[in-house]
Amino acid sequence: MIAPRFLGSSVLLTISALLIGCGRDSAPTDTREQGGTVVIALSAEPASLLPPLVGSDHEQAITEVVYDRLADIGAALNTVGDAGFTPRLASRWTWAADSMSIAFTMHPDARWHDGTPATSSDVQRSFVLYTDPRAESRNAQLLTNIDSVSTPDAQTATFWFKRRSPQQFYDAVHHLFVMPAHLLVDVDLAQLATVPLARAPVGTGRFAFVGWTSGQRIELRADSGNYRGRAMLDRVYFVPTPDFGAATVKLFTGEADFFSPLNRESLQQAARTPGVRVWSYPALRYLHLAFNLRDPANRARPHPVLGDVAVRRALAMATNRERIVRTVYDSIGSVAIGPAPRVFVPDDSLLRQIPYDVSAARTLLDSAGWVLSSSDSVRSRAGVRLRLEILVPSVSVNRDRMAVLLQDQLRLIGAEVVLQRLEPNALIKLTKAGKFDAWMGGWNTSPGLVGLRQVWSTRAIGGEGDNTGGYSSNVFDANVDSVLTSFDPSVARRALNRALQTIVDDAPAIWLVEEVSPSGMSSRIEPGVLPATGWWHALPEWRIPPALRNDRDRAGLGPAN
Amino acid sequence: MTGRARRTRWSRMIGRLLQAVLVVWAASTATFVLLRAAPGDPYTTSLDGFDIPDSTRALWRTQRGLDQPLSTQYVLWLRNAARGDLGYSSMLKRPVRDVMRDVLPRTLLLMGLALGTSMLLGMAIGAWQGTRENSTGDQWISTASMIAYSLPEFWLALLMLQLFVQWLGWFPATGMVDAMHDTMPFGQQLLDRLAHLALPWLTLSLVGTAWFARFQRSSMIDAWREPHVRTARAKGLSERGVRQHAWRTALVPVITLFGLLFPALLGGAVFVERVFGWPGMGYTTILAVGARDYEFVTAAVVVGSAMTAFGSLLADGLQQLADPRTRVP
Repeated sequence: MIAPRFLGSSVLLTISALLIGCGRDSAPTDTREQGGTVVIALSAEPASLLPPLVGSDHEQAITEVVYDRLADIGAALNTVGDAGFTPRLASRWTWAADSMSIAFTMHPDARWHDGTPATSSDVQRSFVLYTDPRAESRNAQLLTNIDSVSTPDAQTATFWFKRRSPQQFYDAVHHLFVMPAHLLVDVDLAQLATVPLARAPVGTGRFAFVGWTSGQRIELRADSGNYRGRAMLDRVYFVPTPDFGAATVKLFTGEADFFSPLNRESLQQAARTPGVRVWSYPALRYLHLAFNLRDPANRARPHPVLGDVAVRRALAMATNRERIVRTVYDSIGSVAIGPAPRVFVPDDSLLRQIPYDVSAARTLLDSAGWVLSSSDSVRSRAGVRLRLEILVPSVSVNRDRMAVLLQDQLRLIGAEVVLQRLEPNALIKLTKAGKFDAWMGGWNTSPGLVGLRQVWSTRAIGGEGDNTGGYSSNVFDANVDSVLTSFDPSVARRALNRALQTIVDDAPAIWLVEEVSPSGMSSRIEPGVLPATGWWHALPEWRIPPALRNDRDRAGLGPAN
Repeated sequence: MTGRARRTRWSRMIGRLLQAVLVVWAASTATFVLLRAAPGDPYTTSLDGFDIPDSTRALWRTQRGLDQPLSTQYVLWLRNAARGDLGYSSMLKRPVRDVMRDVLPRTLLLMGLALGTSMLLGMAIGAWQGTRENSTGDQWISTASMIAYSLPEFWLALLMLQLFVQWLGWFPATGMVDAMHDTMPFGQQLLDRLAHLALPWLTLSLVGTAWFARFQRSSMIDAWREPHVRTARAKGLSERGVRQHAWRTALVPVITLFGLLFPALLGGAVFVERVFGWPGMGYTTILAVGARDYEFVTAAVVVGSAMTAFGSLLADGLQQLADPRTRVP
């Protein structure tokens, strides 16, 4: 007989044992080459899974494995012509003799995940959805060189261009994912975000969407009849985990198999955690201290301090970028070479950087008339103090840390630096209006390098452009035009080097860091190569060897599919 | 009760309700204006992105009516809100009503459980302490509750995460359920839900319990010295009876605290929701403020202020129930 005081706990234990017992799998040994379940912790929950509305990594990671492009960019990230591009939804393509159109032939076996064949009208409809301004598409601006898409037959989609351009093939295929026209009939483009497809995507990718439990998880499964072959994994779960610390704990405890990006501190913990390894890829992004070359009070005049190229060069010279990068980023960043990551600059070693030399910086300032008085530790010229206020986005720990180090280093040459930490919206408002001295900026880049023109060219000053600092150089502009219009890769490469050398010498910014994205991954996963365009592009090739599969890999799955 | 007293009670109740409506209206109107006065809007460029020209952003603003004068936007919002249409979340790209339907019950579940646990535990602990003032047990519990009371929720949440998830491995880290929840049998699904609820619930309850215990203790000490308690004891009432007598008197300030703690827990839930990836209203609101999601934030303020007003009304009602002296004659 059980004593009454133990009765309650005994009942509880029995129930718990039964409940736990219910969940135990009678796991058969899985010997299939394809199989496995991966849980990926996402830094945020997607707002939409409709490609034109997608803008962040955590959204792209899902849409870009559910939907396909017509062709994918190669590992070399070439954007001139079609060299290196791999056929995807288009099995082949034909250029018109005058290069003003490209006819893409749809893959004959391509099917939407609902079973409907993919046709050229899907491409045409997708183009309309991407380019109509009412649709709130983020990529519309990148498709402006495409005039229209025609469909001579169900298998052929012809892109017509407004002008010849070395990047016209890249424009047509890279910025446009093909969506199912039959599920987007009679859609109000101003309400595109509310279509069912935005939360339940139907694509042609190697993973098919299964379900989305708001705030909790999104499930994808391998499309077993996919025209490009079945993905290696059975399932992928994306779990929104907004808190960075919690996401890393999830990774280290095995609740999640993958999380990206890790930060410097969590890298060390990842290295100590059994069953977790780190994979890195370039982040295609650079951070810099951007100077305002125009007077904030009157944009027609040069900035009283930073309008002088000697001052800017002296500030760059006094900045120990190597130390800043090592201190803030350690191994997950490298010193930036200019307004383009190294991966896009084949001849980066030819670029001459402004050297770190504090004595030379002091001499340069002296010769430019910026001198120290006996009563002040800050230099001045004609009553103007060598003072600059740096705007720092309050949400970025790394930029803040770099700004503090910059403040300290620039003090050594007699520059007074004041840090102003601002919420991003407030910071953007000030920079857009030109009301700043300098700000801790950063730009995401893409293989086309159009950012060089959109951010640093003369035509990008004011209006629609993002050249908030007002940098203007005819030499730079001309070379960037050559980069973007030359059909000869070697000519484009030389022009890129000249453009970068010009802007580095003019120092409209101090180029600080190129980030690397380190990802933490369960060591049972074999991911192959993580491409620079995003870790998720290789997701269909990730595999878990049969010997390393566990209960999670098999739970809830029927016989091998 | 006389007819006059009944009428007075009704008019007082209606007055309080109107006051609550006024509070909700004032809070939402202030939010509506202040949000739009802050820099940026839902279509401001992202910090490091340059792919959308200003002209396109201007068109999007027109589509959402953000180019209209503030007064026009306000009248439109008020009219729609009165019909139950809370607008469209620009951040989540869904109608606000749909988002609320997802996130509000999750926060209410967490808050409700935490508040209930805090109240019951805190009152029991505080009452026990109040009757044993300055005993060793009282001093230990006072120190412990002081520590819990002074800890910020987010820090406590991180501590819980480190201790119970990373070191001990007893609970899952984040979320409401495991990624594989749907593949589990019913019993395991139930355990999974409880395991995910445990840490956020415990975190909020610890802080709440400390609050209630401290208030209950001091009001119990005061009540213990009241003449009617001494009289009850002198009349030979059992110690248990005396305690019950004193406890009822000591309830009133604690009930007031309940009204105050109701919205305070909503605030605390913001951080706890973030740390434990609990997809509730608190954390969504914080994200929405950053994204200048006007309509979601305004709706969240409407809900939050309504909950505050409701908490206050509920506290009033409970006070009158506990202390006949506060009732309308």
